[in-house]
Amino acid sequence: MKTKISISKLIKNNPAVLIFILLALAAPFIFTSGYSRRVLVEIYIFSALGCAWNILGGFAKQTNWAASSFFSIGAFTGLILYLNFEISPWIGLFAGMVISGIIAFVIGAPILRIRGVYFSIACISVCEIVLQLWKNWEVSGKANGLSIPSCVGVMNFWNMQFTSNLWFYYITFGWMLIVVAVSSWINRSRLGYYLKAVRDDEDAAISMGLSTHRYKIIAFIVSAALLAGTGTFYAFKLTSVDPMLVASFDVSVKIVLCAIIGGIGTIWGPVLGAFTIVFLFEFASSMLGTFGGGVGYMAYGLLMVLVVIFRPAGLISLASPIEEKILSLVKSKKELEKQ
Amino acid sequence: MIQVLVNGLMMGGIYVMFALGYTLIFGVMKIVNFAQGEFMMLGMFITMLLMPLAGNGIPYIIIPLLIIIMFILSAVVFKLTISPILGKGSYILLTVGLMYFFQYSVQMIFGPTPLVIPVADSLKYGSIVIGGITLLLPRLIAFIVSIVSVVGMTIFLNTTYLGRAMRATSENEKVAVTLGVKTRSVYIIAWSIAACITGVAGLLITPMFLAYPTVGVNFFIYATTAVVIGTLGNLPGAMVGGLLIGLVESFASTYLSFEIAPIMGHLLLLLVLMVKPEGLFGKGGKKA
Repeated sequence: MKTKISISKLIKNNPAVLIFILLALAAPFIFTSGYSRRVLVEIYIFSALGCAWNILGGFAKQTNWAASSFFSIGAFTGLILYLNFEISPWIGLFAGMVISGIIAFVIGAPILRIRGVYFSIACISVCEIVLQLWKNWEVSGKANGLSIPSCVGVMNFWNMQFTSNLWFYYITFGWMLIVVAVSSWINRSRLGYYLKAVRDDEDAAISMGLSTHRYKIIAFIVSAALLAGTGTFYAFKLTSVDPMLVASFDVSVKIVLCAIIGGIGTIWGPVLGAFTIVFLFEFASSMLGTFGGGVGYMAYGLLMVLVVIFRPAGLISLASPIEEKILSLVKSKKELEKQ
Repeated sequence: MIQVLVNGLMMGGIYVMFALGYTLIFGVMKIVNFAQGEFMMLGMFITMLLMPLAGNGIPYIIIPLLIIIMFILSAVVFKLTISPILGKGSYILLTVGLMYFFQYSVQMIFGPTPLVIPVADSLKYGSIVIGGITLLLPRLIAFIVSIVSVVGMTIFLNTTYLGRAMRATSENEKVAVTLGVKTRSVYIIAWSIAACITGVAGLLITPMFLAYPTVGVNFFIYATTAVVIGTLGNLPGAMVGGLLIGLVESFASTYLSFEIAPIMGHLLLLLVLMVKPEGLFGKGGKKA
């Protein structure tokens, strides 16, 4: 019941969201080329990742740099189950989420006691350890990673392999909306308020009798499970995954960046951030490709620095005055009708 | 056994040097500078560019020039990026942004392939044998320079006006301001000194390591471990931490496996963070 209300409220309060969803549903018929659809799928994947990270990183402001570890757990679990046991990725999706949640609990319980900068540093260590473990584990194909040979399995929905890229467009879009809905629900729930209390002043929250550690762990688990879910979709979309592609610190940075550039601790900020970042990256790599590789990442770094200096609240803070204007227009119209 | 110990200590010396700059920035400004490794990388590339000036292939003569360049460069970076957000922004994100910017700017210019820096062979492969233990010359020099810089830094912090101003700012910024310390100038000087020390560390490792844009990342991670073990912002702590990490790395890669060695450092870091979140030299109470 509660979720239903919040979703309808969400749409009522955010006309922009409705417009965005309608546009996104129509988009693949406007951008028919394989390249533009691929970019859009990438955007949805990183929107989902950013939103999932945001649950702990944004609401509670616990900068978690181990996001890519959980992302890779989802990606590899899905592939390992499918390649070795021919288990459908739809089941692998939930298996990955559960495994990722359990690992998040095991890692999170000790790590989340650490505060501030030390927590970030510990997360970087976790990220590096997980990367090294993937690189040295036989089952996950060591440094080469895993890939789905084209002969294995039939192209169908159950195997999550399609001849048309339209399928993945709608699947990833739907998944992104699910993640956004979960994050929006948490934002309005009791847990969300607890997390914000942790963000504002953890000591004060503890002194009010809140067991902040427990709520941080819950947020960590939810965040990790959603990251892993996204990982499974990503792996099956690419059909081949290696440790550096999904588990490296760079991926974590990209995920964190989506949330921060868009607007940390907001619902739609990470989505906006993902649009900005993926577009920027694609643009930089294709337009400035003559300068050699790495222009995309350089532009990232520059954008990151600029956003921190000029727009610390993220790009979504640019959008809020526009949204307020639309809302006030709608309101004044209603008032006119009443009169 | 003793050879492994000595190797570890020598490698630790380089981490100490790196950790020194790291802990100075944290101590004074309470910033974890994720771009610290990039100062080292820039140090290596600047050394490579200045190498022709050295003539005989011994890079140590260009240290003064390197220090001047690093000082100006880092002061400019500070003015443009850190200065506008002092006291209000997210330093972690800013410095991660700087890290990417430096790494990939250098990659655009020099390409991602590791480059050999033309250091004279006599230095590169030179070694001294004392009682059956081989001391590689470049490592020995790096070790000595790093110990000298730790001692020099300690004297600087304890005896000069600027050093005392730095310690005052580190203790309590507001009180330091009321006592007439220009904290902004202290910040910029601490930041630039740290960048210079790290840049010189980059120069010292040129005979041993290839130069590539992401060379700083691994050092950064080891130095982080070292600094956290020895408590962030604590100079002797950074030295102990650096040497300890060098030893762990040396023993792990000799007795376990080369691939496991990086994991051991991280495990040690996590262990220390869980048992003593403030590091081995933490007094508690003072928070990051």
